[in-house]
Amino acid sequence: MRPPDPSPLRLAPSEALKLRVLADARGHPVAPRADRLVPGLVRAALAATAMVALLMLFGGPAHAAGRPTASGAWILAGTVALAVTATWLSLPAGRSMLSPARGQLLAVAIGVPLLVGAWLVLWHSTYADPFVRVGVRCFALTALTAPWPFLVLAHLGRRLDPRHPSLAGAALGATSGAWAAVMVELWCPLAVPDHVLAGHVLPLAVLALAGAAYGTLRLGLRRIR
Amino acid sequence: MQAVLGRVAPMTKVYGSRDAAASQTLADQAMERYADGDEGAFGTLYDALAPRLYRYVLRRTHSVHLAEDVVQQTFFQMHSARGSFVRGAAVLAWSYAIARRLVIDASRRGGRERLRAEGPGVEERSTELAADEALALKEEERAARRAFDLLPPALREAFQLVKLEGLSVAETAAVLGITPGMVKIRTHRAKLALQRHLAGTAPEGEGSPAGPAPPAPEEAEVDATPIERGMTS
Repeated sequence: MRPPDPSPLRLAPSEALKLRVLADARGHPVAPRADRLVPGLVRAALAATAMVALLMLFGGPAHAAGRPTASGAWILAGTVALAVTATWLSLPAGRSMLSPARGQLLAVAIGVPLLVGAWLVLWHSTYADPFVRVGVRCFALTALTAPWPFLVLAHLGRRLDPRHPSLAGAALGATSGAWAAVMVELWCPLAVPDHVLAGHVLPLAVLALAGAAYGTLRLGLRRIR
Repeated sequence: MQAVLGRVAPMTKVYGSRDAAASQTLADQAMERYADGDEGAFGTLYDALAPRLYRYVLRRTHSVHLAEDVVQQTFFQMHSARGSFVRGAAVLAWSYAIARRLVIDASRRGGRERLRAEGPGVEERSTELAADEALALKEEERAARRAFDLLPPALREAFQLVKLEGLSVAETAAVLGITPGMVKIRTHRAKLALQRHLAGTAPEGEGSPAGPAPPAPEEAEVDATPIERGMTS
């Protein structure tokens, strides 16, 4: 004979649960909603300033002097368009607390590094590279400039992703990499495939992975107690 | 076949569209007020959402303790996001998405426990029925439960949110992170699978093509539907 079950299956939550929920909220006070637009704009301005300062520290656009102006303009325009599109695709749409669909985020995380590389290599045949470099400095410039747009994007995001935090973080990482790539394209005149792979695509892939780690740690749900 | 399909639909209606819309509006308004600093609105938010979330989690976990824990955690997450809540955002889909993730996390941690007790509402109703009717009802519940459990997880999840929880296709898409078109496809496939299964297991005269016409969804039993009972027993 089976002993009676101590907890019969109720079809409605108990009154004690409500008391616990309200007590949780009282025990962990959270400030009400504040305007996010002004802080967001301030962050964006600071990030842009920091990125430009870093670019100038590396030598500025003059470093890309050996590249034809038309090719440089097309490369830059394509990279800016990619960064804008990636930003639009990786942030929550309109009035929603939820990040975009999984496929969309995955497309950004994987597509941005590949498209940046493909776009550069496409222009490789239009001019002769002025010099040869492995890509270490391009990698470094990307790594130094990417965290700034990432801070802005993380602020513009909803800070909580219950569905796929790693993917949301990866998309943010790749998008911030795309903005960093804009700075790098202003500076780097090279489009040879080996250099593009090591100095332009690899850092974006690393940023996507770092973003995924950030998403797992910071954007996912955290249990109380 | 049509009769079986008709039988599935009312069995799975838990929230009428009017109830769902009312609780959704109430929740949206309460969360807006809470985000703006009205401390008392959190209780209203709880009253509007907790019963739905609790039943949703209970259906997935079959555990009262786990259901209460997930609901508690869900509200805490919503409370934590108070300061960053987007003006005009839909609370219902967001809360379901949080609860769903917490259930997945709990099942990954091995916290899934099954309690086999039945709800008091089910017991009361069963004792009022004649023995053969009660037996037929039990059989129907088991069949519904089996059919539902046999559904692939992706189909089951979409079907549960749309048909049992009363979420719209767009809300379900937001909860699951897929496109509305995919939600429609999954729900339709789940319905077909249930239809096939129930057609094969339905007792004679009930739900068979020659059987009586099914009740309209609005007239369906709300508290103790066969699929619901099947899933919580």
